Amino acid sequence: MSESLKHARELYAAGDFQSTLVAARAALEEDGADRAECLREMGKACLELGLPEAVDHLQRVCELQPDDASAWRDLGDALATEGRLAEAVRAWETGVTLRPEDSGMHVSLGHAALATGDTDEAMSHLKYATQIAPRNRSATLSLVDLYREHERFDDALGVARAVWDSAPDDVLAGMDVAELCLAVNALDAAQEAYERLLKLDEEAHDIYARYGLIDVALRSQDWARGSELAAAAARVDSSSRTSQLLTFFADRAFSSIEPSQTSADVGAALVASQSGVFALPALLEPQEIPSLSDVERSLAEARFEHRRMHVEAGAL
Amino acid sequence: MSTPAEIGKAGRQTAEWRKCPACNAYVYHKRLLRQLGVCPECNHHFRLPLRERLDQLLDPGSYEDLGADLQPLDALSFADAKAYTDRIERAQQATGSLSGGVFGRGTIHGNPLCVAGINFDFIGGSMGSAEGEAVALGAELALRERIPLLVISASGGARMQEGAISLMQMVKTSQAIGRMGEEGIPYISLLTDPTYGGVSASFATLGDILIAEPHAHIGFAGPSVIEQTIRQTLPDGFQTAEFLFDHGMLDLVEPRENLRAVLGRIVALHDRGEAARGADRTSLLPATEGAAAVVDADGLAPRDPWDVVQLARLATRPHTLDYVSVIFDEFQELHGDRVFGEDPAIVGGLARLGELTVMVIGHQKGSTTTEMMERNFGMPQPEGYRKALRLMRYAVRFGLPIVCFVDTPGAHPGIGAEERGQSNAIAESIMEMSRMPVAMVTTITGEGGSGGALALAAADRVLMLECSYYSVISPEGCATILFKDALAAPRAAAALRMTAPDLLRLGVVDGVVPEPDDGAASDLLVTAENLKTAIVASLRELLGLSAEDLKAQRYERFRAFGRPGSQPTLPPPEVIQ
Repeated sequence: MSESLKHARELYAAGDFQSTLVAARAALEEDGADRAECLREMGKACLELGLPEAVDHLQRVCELQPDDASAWRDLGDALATEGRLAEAVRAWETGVTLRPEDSGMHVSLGHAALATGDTDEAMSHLKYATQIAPRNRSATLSLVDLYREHERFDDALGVARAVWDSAPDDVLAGMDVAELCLAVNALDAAQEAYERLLKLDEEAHDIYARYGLIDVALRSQDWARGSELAAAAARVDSSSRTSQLLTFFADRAFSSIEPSQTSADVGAALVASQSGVFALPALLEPQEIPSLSDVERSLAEARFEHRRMHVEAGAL
Repeated sequence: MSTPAEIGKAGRQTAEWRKCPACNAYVYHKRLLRQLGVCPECNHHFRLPLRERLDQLLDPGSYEDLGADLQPLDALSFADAKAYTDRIERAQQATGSLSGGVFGRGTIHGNPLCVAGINFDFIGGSMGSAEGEAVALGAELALRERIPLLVISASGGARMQEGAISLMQMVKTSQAIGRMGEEGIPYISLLTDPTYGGVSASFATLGDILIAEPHAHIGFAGPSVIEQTIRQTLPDGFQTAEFLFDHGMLDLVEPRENLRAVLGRIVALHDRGEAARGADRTSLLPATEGAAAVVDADGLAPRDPWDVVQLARLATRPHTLDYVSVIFDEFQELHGDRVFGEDPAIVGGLARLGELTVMVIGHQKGSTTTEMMERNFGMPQPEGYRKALRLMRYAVRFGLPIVCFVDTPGAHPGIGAEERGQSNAIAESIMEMSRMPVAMVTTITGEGGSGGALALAAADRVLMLECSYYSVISPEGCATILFKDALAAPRAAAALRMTAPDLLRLGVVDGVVPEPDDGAASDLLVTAENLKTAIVASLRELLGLSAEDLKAQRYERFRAFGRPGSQPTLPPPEVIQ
């Protein structure tokens, strides 16, 4: 290997992609240069720099070294970056034929299949990727999504648990486990997961874990516990959602005492109960009791909001 | 993260895919970065880390970080479930920054500017002492170096853990911004998703120009708090950038891919304005080739007043934005009155005339039925006049000449307009315009309908196109009220002396811009070139005058109307059969 090419590789390893490109281009112009390796470094540098020339360079590497799986993988990545997904798929397919154990290419093929709506193909690649690289977060989280979309909740839960076990600080994985436990009606496990999330996701999102615990109470029809949880939630977040939940649960909890029509009655009942749950002043104004479907919809929206925040936060 | 051995065995794991939270599509990570963090499937704008955003907006390698040592201050020794210092430490570990405050210097399209911002990843972008410090230091640096300031906001509001010290950051930052305004240093605020509370209620919404990304959530109180308080379901799109734009609170809602170009244009236009301060600005005016404005009424070909009214109202006649596109070399439209709404019947913005930056404001009617309806046929609401006045004040702040185009049947007559103070909006525009310390040239390009037109015409020089009219009332209105016959509109048009020759004789206008024989609609380019020549000639006369002289001459110009002995009078008009 020429000194120039070696230097280019060192620059790439150091993350200086602009200099890598310059050095690799210089190496290519030397007598007896290893053209394929120089082009590979140029292509990889262009890929990191977001330059469309990456495709040309890497295509030439594949022409020079058609049995090089890495070259096909890089070419696929470059094509996908340009939005040329169908061509990228062909490159990755060539790559995995040469190196079936490359989980990264299976993950890419899985996601490419998802993008084109071929869920069977997607599932096959993603499953394979998680088998050969269980810690591939991209593959596992997507596989959980895919199983969930197909209502294969037990399969999804199995993968999600494995992810959370291997990365206990991963809030998204925790959300997956908690929500999937709800989906399979494993309410004790769901409660345990939400209690874990309450400690894990404490900064500004703890309210969402509280909503999860309230959801568990709802599904258990444990109105008293739901009331206590909703009252606690209302103390940390005086939003319309918590108010709605408190009204609903309090109504259910106290309707056996006297059927009520408004939250004013509920508030009065709460005060009268001396249960330690205080009634918010706002509740003493007449307010419609929300229906069960209202509450279910509100909790589903909360789950969506929470997930979206975490997906967005780590996206770039 | 995988170990290198795992990667070697199981393949590289850098091929990351991201799920779009809006449309659920999986997007290849590098493609997402190439798209500036905008989903290629649904156009959802992902939240960007501040450094990534600076990389997107500034010239490569130009950013100089000056705020890396800013640190939060725990003035209260605050603790809730955990000590504030522990939360700071955790945020520092997560972000690799000592605080959420960022400030520095960079260039955009080669023009220097200061940059400050709040990193949302640091304790939810909340504003504590360090974040306030970053904004204040950025403003002070901009002031010292007399370069624009760009602040990028993403924040949940004031930081509770710093108590009243956090609250005081609102004043600290606002007063620093206020000083910039006093010294004529431009401040551009870029509001990103989300911007709330103490940040939105201080420096973030104080920009001379406010720009937001599509669908960014911006507001004072959070939506759930509002819902809880008012017990109403909020409308779709509430507190989005589009909602704020429609309510006049933003100048621009720009997709991420446009932001660098738009910011670059605004900074460049201001850079020209700053460079022109104290210089001989007449040298910045372009050479023109059009026919000179006619200043002697006898030099104008006689036209039947009613024919002129018809020509002035032609749907195909050029409107303000048509003239702007030909006369000016660059134009950046700005929107909103910052009070109630965005009125498309009035357009305005920064423009370049040769090498001189000016503020352009005008009525806009529209040419197609749809556009005419969208622009309310060029009849402004109070918010239109308040937008115009806001832009005029903007021009004064930066010493920019003002060029206005008038083309309106009149201010909008309606219940809402009355409720929102149409009369006052017009009156304030007239009064403030008459006292502004910058050169102002207004041209009546079509219809000059009464007070609704005058609100943009209390200028140093008032010109009119040859086939336009300017009147206290429409000929139809006058015919109905005074002639007791709507069909007498042609007679009323003649009697009102509303056309260019008579208004020139009366001194209401200072010059008449020639039009082709068949009117401006027959040849936009010729008309626009003539108009450009007239505007440039007027500015050439005015730019050398001091602010005091401008105000004094303008005062005398309007003071003389109707003054016995100095007001010219006209003989009776020829009788129209």
